[in-house]
Amino acid sequence: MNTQRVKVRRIVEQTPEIRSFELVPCDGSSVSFTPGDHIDVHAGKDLIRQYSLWNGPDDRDAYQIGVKREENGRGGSAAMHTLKEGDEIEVSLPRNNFELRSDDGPVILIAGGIGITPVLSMARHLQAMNRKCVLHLFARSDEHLPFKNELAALDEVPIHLGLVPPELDAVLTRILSNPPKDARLYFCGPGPFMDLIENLAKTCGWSSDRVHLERFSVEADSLDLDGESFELVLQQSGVTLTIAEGQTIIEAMEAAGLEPMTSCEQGVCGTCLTTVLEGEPDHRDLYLNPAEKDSGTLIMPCVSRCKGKKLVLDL
Amino acid sequence: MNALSPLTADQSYLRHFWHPVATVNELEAADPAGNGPIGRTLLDEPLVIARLDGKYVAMHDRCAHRFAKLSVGKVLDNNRIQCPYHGWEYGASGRCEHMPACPNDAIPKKAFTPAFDCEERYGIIWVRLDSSWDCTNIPYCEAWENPEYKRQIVAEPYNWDSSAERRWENFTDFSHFAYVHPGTLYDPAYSEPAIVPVDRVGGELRFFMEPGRDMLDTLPDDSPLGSWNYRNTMPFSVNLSIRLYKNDQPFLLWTTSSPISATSCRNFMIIAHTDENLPDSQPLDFQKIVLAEDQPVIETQPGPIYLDEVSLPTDKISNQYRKWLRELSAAAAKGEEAFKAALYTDVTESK
Ligand code: FES
Ligand code: FES
Ligand SMILES: [Fe+2]
Repeated sequence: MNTQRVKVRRIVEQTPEIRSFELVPCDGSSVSFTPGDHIDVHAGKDLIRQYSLWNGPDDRDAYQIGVKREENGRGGSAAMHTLKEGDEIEVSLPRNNFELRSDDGPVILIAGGIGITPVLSMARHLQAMNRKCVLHLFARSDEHLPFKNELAALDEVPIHLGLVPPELDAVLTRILSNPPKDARLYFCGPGPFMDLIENLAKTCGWSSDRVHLERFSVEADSLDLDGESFELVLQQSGVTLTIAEGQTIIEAMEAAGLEPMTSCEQGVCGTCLTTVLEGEPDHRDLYLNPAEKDSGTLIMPCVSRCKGKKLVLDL
Repeated sequence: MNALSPLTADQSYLRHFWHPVATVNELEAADPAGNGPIGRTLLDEPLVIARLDGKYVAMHDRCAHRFAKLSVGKVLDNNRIQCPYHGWEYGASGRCEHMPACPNDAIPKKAFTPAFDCEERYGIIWVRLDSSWDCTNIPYCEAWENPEYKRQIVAEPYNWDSSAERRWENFTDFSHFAYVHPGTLYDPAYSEPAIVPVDRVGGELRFFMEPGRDMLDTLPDDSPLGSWNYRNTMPFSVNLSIRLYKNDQPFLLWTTSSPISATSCRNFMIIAHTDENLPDSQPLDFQKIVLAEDQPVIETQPGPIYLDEVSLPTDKISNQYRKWLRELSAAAAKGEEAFKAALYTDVTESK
């Protein structure tokens, strides 16, 4: 596994909602990364969350991440906010989906809220390389402005507070208008904010290969689909299949040329609901209620498996 | 493309529920005495609504004689509906009591129009088309129950070219706020909704959510931002009881969608609040803005709900609502006991 153990060296209360964490590798190694990188953080059992690094070019001894506490989140950010200095957790090595291109035209960076983290890293790198860049930061209010110290060290950081449509659209249009041919645009923030920028950039004449963005991943609990192999009997079709380790019932059925009815394939919608005729289901879905799960007579075959060696379904 | 699979094979289970058909105000607007009649459609059934002897009645809107609509007739002496065509007169039970063309002849046994259970509550007239199992109640509404409320507004109903199911889902959909109502109900920054526990209690789907408090900074003052507590009587009612962040006062948004057909609905709304001096137009106008944001989007969806729609974990409320509808439809096909069990077996997730 590509994980490493890190120790929480420092926690800073950036805003009432955002905390930054300094994570030092326990083995004393230095960290290597590029601007725009993120790491997977194992925040708790089955809770893997991705956070962008906001490291500057000289921050080589620790990963710097920022976590916004989602009031009604699904546990990831809440679990992160229970961490204390000195705690140890597992993280992955940095990966990049949001790469800073190395040509030298002017750069416009735009961040909304906690979307600041990857672009802050970019801005710090660009400034160190003496490249022209402006970082536009959008936040709700001054109180919600994270990384004040780091922002103060940057040359050009216009801050836009408390804007909603239509003023928001107007300000963004001003920023995006008349792009120089060799300019690049990087932005990160909440979904609708991103959509807005993407559309406005198009309208303002940005060509899509000069526009780079990173969307936050939805904080959904990752599905655990692992499990041992078992035999599956489909009573109606008169077919017996072997479900391999890590393969879902639906995948095996499709591989055998059957066409089971599914939609979400995440165990949330109920479309694949099936009656169990024999065997003990191993429920992995979020659809059935506890009583239904206990009854052992229903299963969501897009995600659920079998506790024993054999399962007979009414399919 | 393959044929789509509808969520429920059989919609007849909806006939066992109480649905709103008109407000008392509408009846009064139709006739100064407040007796009606007016015509409405519920689940494809044309209805004539009237008040006879002080009691609201709902009947199949079709005179037994030559099938003219009774709803364009008159209420006579506060106690009979007269057909506009040949003047047959019907009493509250739906029986014809008088045929002016041959007043002394025996009235044929089949000279009646079916009457349905009909009640007034919350200034709204409710109808249940099938009372054979008699196991459902008029939906819960907190407006007159909570003494903190000083003003209850029964809004004028509005129609949408959408199903009641879609309307309900739209009202309770957390992930559309940031897209459809940016700056009205929600700050676009909060685009990832919470996944909350969803309970079934006494035929209501209940859940609770607290949107981010700091949206107070950016949303208009009329926006009902607060902790949102939902007690939604199945199948189409929403009782959204809000504790406003701005002043810690309660604010109620209640809505019930009435299925005209599989593709159209009529929507009833009650707003209750604590400010005696607030003109009704203020919260009503705000809701109009919100509705004008929703309607053009929702009307692009097909009326029926399909299993083929791709759901996400964040669609939990809709997913669990659909689950219950599906169970109710299937249970109704099995009979009374199964239906009661499906409706009244509590399932609680929250602690
Ligand atoms: S396909 Fe949605 S629960 Fe299985
Ligand atoms: S994104 Fe939800 S209906 Fe299209
Ligand atoms: Fe809406």
